[in-house]
Amino acid sequence: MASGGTADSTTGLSRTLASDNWPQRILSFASEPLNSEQEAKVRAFASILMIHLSSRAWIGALGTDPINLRYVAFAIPLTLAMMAVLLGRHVRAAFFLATLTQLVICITTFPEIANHRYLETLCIAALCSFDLSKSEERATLLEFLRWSLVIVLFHTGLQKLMYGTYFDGQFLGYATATSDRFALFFQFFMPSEELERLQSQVPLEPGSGPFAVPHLTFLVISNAVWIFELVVPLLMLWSRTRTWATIAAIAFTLSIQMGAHEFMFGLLFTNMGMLFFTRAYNRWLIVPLAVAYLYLILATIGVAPWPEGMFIN
Amino acid sequence: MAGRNVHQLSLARKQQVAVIVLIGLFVWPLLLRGLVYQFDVSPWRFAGFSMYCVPKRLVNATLHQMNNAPIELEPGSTADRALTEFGGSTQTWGPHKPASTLWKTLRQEQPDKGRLLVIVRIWELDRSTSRIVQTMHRYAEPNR
Repeated sequence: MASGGTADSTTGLSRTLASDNWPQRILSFASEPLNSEQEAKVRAFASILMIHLSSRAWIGALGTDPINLRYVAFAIPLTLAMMAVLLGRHVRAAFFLATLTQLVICITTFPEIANHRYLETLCIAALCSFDLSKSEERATLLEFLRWSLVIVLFHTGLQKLMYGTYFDGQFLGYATATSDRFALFFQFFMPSEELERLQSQVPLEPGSGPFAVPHLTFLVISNAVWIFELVVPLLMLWSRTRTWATIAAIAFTLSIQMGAHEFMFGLLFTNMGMLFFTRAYNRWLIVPLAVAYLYLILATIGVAPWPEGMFIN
Repeated sequence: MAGRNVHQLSLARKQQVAVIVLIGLFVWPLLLRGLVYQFDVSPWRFAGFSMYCVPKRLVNATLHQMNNAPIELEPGSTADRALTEFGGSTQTWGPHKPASTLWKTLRQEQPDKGRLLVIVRIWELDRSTSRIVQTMHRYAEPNR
């Protein structure tokens, strides 16, 4: 790692070729030329992740009536850890505390726990495990986090392919029938009679359906989802297509997650996705995202406006 | 300190661990797909990253006598909550989860009834017909 702002010309590929270390060879598929931006990039990622973890715990604590004291107990150490990371004091201890808290959350709420909680825990455990003051360790951490995102995104597509409910649009048809937020989006991609037919299936009972939607535009979108999720992660690994594939992945995932009201996963994905850019653009996101998370907390307690019936998750 | 010990590992060793974790991250969802197929566990849970692949199952658990006559439970009572919780756990773990932990709670509120029967109705989207289908699972209390 070049320090003091000078770029090192050593590339991930040359590191790969120079090494007979098989794990490094695998990790290097997600590498980039060592450069002076990596330190800022990793630190910005860590800051945003800590804000994310702390906010999520407070939303879990304050989003119920009465207040969920168990989540308050999780939110306090995560907030202390966040402050330490943002101030740059006792950072290793803060990562350790946050990892421990996340593990306790996973264990005590298993199995009723969202999948992105595991991904968050993986991220913070990775930050805890690598020495961020060493350039080689930072580079390996970046490779690990990039690979993690690639695998997760690839699996979301692969699983849709294996379950087979997107070929004829039946999953999205069901979602459109039973969920206003899906109907709001997909009403533009099917005739109004089809939308009425789907929504007339509710309330559900045995025999309700069919939910397959025989309309070309809808089927194109339904199948584009899983194809995109399978192909784009591979393009994010290839250095020539990485930038555009990353922009597409972030835009795609954010729009889907916002549509599905899975704000937390959308924000976590964005934070991880920003690691694919060579430049540390994510440092410019710390303040806006901190404001966004603060807004979500304020909306949770009813101080900031929020659409009625829309949950914060 | 555990954190310090981790940092004493060589970079090569950390890379090995990192790749093993990544292999696990890749392989686990495939194994979970097998568990979903075999045991009907929920694809929405367990870090399989298969949310939004199938709709969440709709589960309704009810209490009966062995002749199928329904037994009304007081809403919000311990037994009612236990039954709802059992239905919820069926949604996550699948219908093969034993009901053994349920009987003691139910029996406390229904001491005079004969053998108890819990019926769990599960509604889910059938991929081949694209319609909602119902499966019913019966859990009979062991002989007293």
